[in-house]
Amino acid sequence: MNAPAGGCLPEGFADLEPWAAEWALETEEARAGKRVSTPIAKLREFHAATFPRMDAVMVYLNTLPNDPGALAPRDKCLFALAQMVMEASAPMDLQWDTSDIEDVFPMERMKFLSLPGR
Amino acid sequence: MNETVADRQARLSGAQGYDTSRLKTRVDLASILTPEHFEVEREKIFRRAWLMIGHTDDLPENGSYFVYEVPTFKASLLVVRGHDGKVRVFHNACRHRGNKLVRAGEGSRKSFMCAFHGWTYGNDGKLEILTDPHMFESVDKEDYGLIPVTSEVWENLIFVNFDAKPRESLAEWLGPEFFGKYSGYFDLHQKSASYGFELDCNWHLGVNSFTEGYHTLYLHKNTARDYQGGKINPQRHRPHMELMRRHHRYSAPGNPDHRIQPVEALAIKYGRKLLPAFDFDYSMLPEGVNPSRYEYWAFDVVEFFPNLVVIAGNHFRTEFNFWPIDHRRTQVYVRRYTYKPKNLGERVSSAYFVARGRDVVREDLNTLEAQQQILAAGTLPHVLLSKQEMALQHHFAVTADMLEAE
Repeated sequence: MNAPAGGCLPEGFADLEPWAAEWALETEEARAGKRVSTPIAKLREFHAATFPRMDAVMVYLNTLPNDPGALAPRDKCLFALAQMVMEASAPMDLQWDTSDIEDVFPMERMKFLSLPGR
Repeated sequence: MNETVADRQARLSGAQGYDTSRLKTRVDLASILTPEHFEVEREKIFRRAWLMIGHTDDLPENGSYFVYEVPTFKASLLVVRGHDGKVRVFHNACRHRGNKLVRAGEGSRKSFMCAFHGWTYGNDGKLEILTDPHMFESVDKEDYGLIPVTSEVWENLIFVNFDAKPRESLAEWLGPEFFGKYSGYFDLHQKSASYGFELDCNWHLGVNSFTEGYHTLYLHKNTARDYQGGKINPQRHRPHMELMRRHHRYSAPGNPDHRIQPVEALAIKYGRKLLPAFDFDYSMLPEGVNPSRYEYWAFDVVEFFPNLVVIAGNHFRTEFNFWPIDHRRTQVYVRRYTYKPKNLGERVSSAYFVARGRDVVREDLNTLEAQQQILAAGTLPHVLLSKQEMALQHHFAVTADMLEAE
């Protein structure tokens, strides 16, 4: 995602800006790949910085129209970042020592298909 | 009534609409995994069955289409909503020299022009333009429309039948347990994720891995460790099981004592309970879903024989299609559906469950190629199926029923 001058997030979320360029990923495939390819220490750092802000993020997002395709670039960036917080949460909620579980069907063999009609 | 869930499953096991003497607890899978066996299955099971290939809501407007590959018959299908609103299924093949009309994907078109020589078909399948017609010897355009594939729609699910003359209607195939019992259910959700992949295993193994709950205590210990059963049902016995002439469905027990984790709590606060916590208020669901109205209901698992498994939950469902490519390779499509969000917060919330569900499925997929190697080598005299795996017993009994039919 191209960050507009002065960062990519809407006003009020400047503290999350250091994460936006790399972690505000728009597709499920990109977010899933990011989680399993990021070392667990970095995932924990991301979680620690973003999760406490999620109530504010959700309250803000709920003031916007319910149409991801029509969002302004900065709102789209925050929406993507919020979904990445969800994606990155498994090792936290499930107390894993690693970013992905061992002995599991590899993510790279899953082909993410488009969603017709949307 | 003090009946435990385990007692209930044991009781249910003997009282079904299916002749339970057909069920076997020992199945010789090595003999089922052979190329010769599969060739018979393709003709006697897959050609005779009604097979689900998509949804009418994948075709939102007149002219909408998608291409669907069915490797079992090396078929490419073009599924179209015509200008008259009717959904039709055709072989995705130009009648001139067999070029694929649409290479892949989906979209919306008034007509389909073959890139090879410009033959053009309406979205109702009629040949509209035959280029340079006078150079062809006595060709009537009426005779060269797209070749239809027999199709019928139940709720919003599109089924096809590859038999020259289907032996039964879709309504007969599905039976009274389904027809009229799921009104509106499939419209409650919208598609939120879709995956495809090829597995080096026989199609039976794929279907079997999603139709028993016995494995969940062990295989899913890292991703969904306390989502089912709980103190009242620690072995996670199924509270409801129905074996039908072809299909089966059972209900999975939720865990009323599931411990909600921090990010999960946020997802629930701004959305709904999908998984691993479940919304036990199923009062709005049609009678086919949670048919026994089990109090701590998690979801139903429905096998539409032979190759569709639907995990039917309250605010979500997941559909798996297993298409045999040959006796040891399977094309799998997985579609995740979640409730229709009314704001962005609910969309973010759903992303939590989509991510969690994906990891659970990755665990399910992880045994299949290992099993294929061992079982195809004939290492085991048989696989052993418990009452917890009654749906698998039924799957192989129905397989035998169809293979024995003339």
